[in-house]
Amino acid sequence: MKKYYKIIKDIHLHTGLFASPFIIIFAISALVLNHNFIDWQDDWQEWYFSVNDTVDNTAGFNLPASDKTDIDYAKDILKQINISGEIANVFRDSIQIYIPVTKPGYRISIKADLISGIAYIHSKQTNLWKKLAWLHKMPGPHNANIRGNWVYTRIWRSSVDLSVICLFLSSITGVILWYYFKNERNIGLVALLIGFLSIVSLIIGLTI
Amino acid sequence: MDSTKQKNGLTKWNQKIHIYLGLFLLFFIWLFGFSGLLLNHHWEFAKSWEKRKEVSYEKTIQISKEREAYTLVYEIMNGLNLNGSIHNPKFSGDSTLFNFIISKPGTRYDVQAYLNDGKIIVKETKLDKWEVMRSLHKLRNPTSKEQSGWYQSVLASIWGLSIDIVSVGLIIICLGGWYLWLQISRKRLYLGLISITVGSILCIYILFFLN
Repeated sequence: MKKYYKIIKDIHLHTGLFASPFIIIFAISALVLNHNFIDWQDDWQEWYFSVNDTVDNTAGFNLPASDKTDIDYAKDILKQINISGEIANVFRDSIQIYIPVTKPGYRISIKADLISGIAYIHSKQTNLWKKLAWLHKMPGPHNANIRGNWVYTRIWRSSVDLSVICLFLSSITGVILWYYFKNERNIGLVALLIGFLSIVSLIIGLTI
Repeated sequence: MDSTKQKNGLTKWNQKIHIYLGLFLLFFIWLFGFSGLLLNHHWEFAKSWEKRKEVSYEKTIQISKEREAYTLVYEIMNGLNLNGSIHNPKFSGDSTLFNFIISKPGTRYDVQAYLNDGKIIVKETKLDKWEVMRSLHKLRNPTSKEQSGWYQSVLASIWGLSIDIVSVGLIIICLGGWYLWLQISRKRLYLGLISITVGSILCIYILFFLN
């Protein structure tokens, strides 16, 4: 077992170091989401259709092929008007299409007039806390069929997956390393048991 | 000599905190890590909503003349032996019908109470273990906008507190881990620098340079 010590220690070190910036982002944003010290929650409908109240910019576009799916149709328009970001939803009828777009630090509401070929744009900047909350929740479980439609959302998802795998590896190797510290075994075992009993009793209490 | 002693003491205590805190939070970390993956992916085996079980039942209980929403909710919950967090208690226009939702990880009760005759209709939706995990991940305190229509159960509030403990604990583990990394040999220091830089660049780029 001793001959593996160095390898295990290296795995613990490197996986932990790689995952640490992600863990810090997720830990801080978890505190933000769990408390009221900043108003992270936006009214979705207000944001989706905010372009009806305020227009910051307009841009022309050519109508995409009508046989495209809603999301591809919206992507085509965004490309033409030079806006990037995660499309949160698409509302399309025969005369107009609403495309709410989000990215860290921005919420953009777009209304594209399909008759005149003009897109009306309203964008709102958000603060650092909202950026962190965005990263915590993206891509998330909602609108599963269209989520991850922006390349950076996919990169973020893959990076988070990798960091979770690193976190698992780091925690498993951490437990193995603890075994080598004979002096820490007893108190460590108590800490492990308290943690285990806390989570089990809370889950049982919450679910029954 | 004194500063070396101090440094060794700090390293030793840092190591102890890193180990104990890591062990205490181990199962929380695994739960939040795995449920985070479940939330970010839509794996076929974990599609809970399609596999939900719904049961509706009716019961008649004695309802007092109380018309304060939360007191009434508790009265009905006790009468039906239900527990969980309360959402959106609402009276109908003529105050004869009272609706609310009770939720806990994996279960949701939609309750309709006919206040004049005490008839209660409950629609119970049960979801599988994967949804329980997702719900535990998403369980949080209500925001200021939600507070008026959301009353958190005591256990859910304790769970909210445990999220804070896990978050602060993880930050301490990371910071302590960085300190311990800086105390080790040069070779490991440089190799570690590569790992932390890759992670940091990804985070910083996405956080600050996607304008």
